Amino acid sequence: MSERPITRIRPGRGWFDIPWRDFFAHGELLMLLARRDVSIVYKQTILGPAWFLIQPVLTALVFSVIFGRVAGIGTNGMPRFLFYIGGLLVWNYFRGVMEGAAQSFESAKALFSKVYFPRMVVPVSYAVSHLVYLGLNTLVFFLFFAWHVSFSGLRLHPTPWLLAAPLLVAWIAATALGFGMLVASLTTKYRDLRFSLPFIMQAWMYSSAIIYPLDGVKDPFFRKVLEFNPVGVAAEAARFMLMGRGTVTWRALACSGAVIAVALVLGLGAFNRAQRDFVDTI
Amino acid sequence: MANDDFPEDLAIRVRGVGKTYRLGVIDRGTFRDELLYRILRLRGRDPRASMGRIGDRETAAPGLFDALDGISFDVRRGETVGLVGRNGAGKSTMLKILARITTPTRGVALIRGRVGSMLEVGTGFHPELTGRENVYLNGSILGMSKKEIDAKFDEIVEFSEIGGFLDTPVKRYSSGMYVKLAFSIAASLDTDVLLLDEVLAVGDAPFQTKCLDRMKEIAASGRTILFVSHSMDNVRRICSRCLLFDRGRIAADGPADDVVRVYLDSPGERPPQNTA
Repeated sequence: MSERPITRIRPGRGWFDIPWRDFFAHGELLMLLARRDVSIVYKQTILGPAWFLIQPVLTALVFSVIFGRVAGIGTNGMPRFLFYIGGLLVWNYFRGVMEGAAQSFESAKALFSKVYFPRMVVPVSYAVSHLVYLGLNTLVFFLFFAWHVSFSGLRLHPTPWLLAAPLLVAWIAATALGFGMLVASLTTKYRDLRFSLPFIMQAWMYSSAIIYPLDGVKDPFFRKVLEFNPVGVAAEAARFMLMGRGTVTWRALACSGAVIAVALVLGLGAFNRAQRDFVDTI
Repeated sequence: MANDDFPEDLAIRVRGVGKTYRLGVIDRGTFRDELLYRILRLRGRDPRASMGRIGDRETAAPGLFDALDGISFDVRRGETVGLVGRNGAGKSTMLKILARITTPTRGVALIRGRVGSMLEVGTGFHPELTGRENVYLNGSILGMSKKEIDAKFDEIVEFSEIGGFLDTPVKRYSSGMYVKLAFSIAASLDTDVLLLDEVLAVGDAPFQTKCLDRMKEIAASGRTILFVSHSMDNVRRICSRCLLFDRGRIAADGPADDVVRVYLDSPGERPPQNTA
C-alpha cells in the first residue's frame, strides 16, 4: 500500500473514453474469469470436457451426410470430414466468443451491479476461454488428418502458412469481439436482439464458407459479397493453412479486414457507452 | 495530473456531483422523449428545462429526476462517515457513484487509494462459484495478485464463520452466510476506502457486534469508511461524523450525534416508504 492511486470520477465523455490502463491492470481477473468460464461449462454433465471433442465430430458427421451426401455440395478435393471439421474450427471459436461477448451484460449482471472493474474484461475473457476449445478442436482435426494420411493415402499437407495461425485466431477474435460487444450494448436497451441473435448466427454461418468452399460459389456478385465476411475468409484461410486448399485473395483480406476494423471501433465505443449506465437501465 | 486541489490528508473529495435519471425511458411514449432529449442536447440546450423536472416524487409522468443534486463534501483519511436520510434521499446513489457502479451526470469525485465496496446486500459474487473462488474473484477485481489474496485468505475465512461451506457455490448460501462472507472479504482485503451500504441488515446480532468492532478497528488503522445505514444506533456507535441526505442534497453535515438528532427531529419523519 505504498502508492495510493487517485481515482477521478466524472461524467462519461463520449464513446471512446475507454479505461485502457485499468483494463490492462486486470489481467489476473481476466484469466480467472476465463478459467471460470471453462470450468462452469462442464459442471453438472456426465461426459464433462469430453463434450468438446465429441461435439465437433458429431457436427462434422451430420454435415458430411446432409451437405455432402444428400445435397451433394463439393469440398474442393478435400475429404468431406476434414473439410467440415476444418471450417468448424473457425466457426466454433467465432460463435463461442461472439455469443459470450454478446451476453456479457446478462451473464455478469451480478458483478456489474455491485463492483467496479473495467467491464471490457468480461467479453475479452471469452476470447481467452474459447482458446481451450479451439485447441481441442484442432487436436481432433489432426487426429482425423493423421488417420486419413495413413489409411486412405491422402496427399494433402499443411502449408508453411500454418505458422500464421495466431494471426488468424486474432482475426477471428477481433471479429467476434467487435460484433459481440456491439450486440451486447444494443441488448441492454433493446431486448429484441436477444431473440434475434440465434437467427443472425444461423444466417451468418450459411454466409460463411463453412459448409461449402468459396470456389463453389459461381455467382460473381455473391462471391464478392462473401468476401466482406471475415468469418468466411478465415475459414478458407484455415483450410488453406491446414491442407493447402482454399482461396484467400488480398482483396478478400482487405474487404473483410475493413469490416473487422469498423466492427471493432463500433463495438468498443458502444460497449463503453453502454457499460457506463448499464446499472441504471436494468 | 489528477492531484490538482486534492490535499494529501483527504481520502475523498466530492464536488458538485449530480445524478439525473430519465424516467420512463424504456417504458412508454419513450422513443419520442429520447429523440427530443437528444435534439435538445445537440442544440446545446438543457433538456431539464424544456422537458419538465419532477420535483415532487409522487408524479408518475415521464421526465427527469435528480437523485443527487450538487453534492459536495470532503472526507479525511481514517474518518468514518455515516450517510443517513430517508429512502430515496440519494445515499445509495452516492455510494454507487463512488464505487463506480454508475456514473454521475455532473460534477467530479476524487478518491485516494483502493476502493472496496459492499452495496445493498451482497457484493460482487458470482453465484455459480464457491465461496473460496469468490474470495479470489473479489481480490482480483480489486487488482490484487493471487499471492496477496493467499496471505489474507485464512483471516477472511475465520472472520466469516462459514468454514464448512467454503467449497459450496454461493448460490446455495443463506442470505446471512452471504453477507458474512461479503463483509469479511470487504473488511480484509487491502483497501484504503470502504463503502458499506446496509451491510448489517441481514447478519445475526452477534455477527453485527463483531462487524461493528471490526469497523472500528479498520477506522483506527487509518482506513476510511463511508457507511449507509438506517440504524441510528449503529451509526452513532461507529461514526464520528454524519451527512444527512434529503432529496438529493446534503441537509446537514457534522458530528454524528447532532446530525442524527436533526434527522430524527425532522418533520415528516416516518417509517420509510419504498421509493429507492
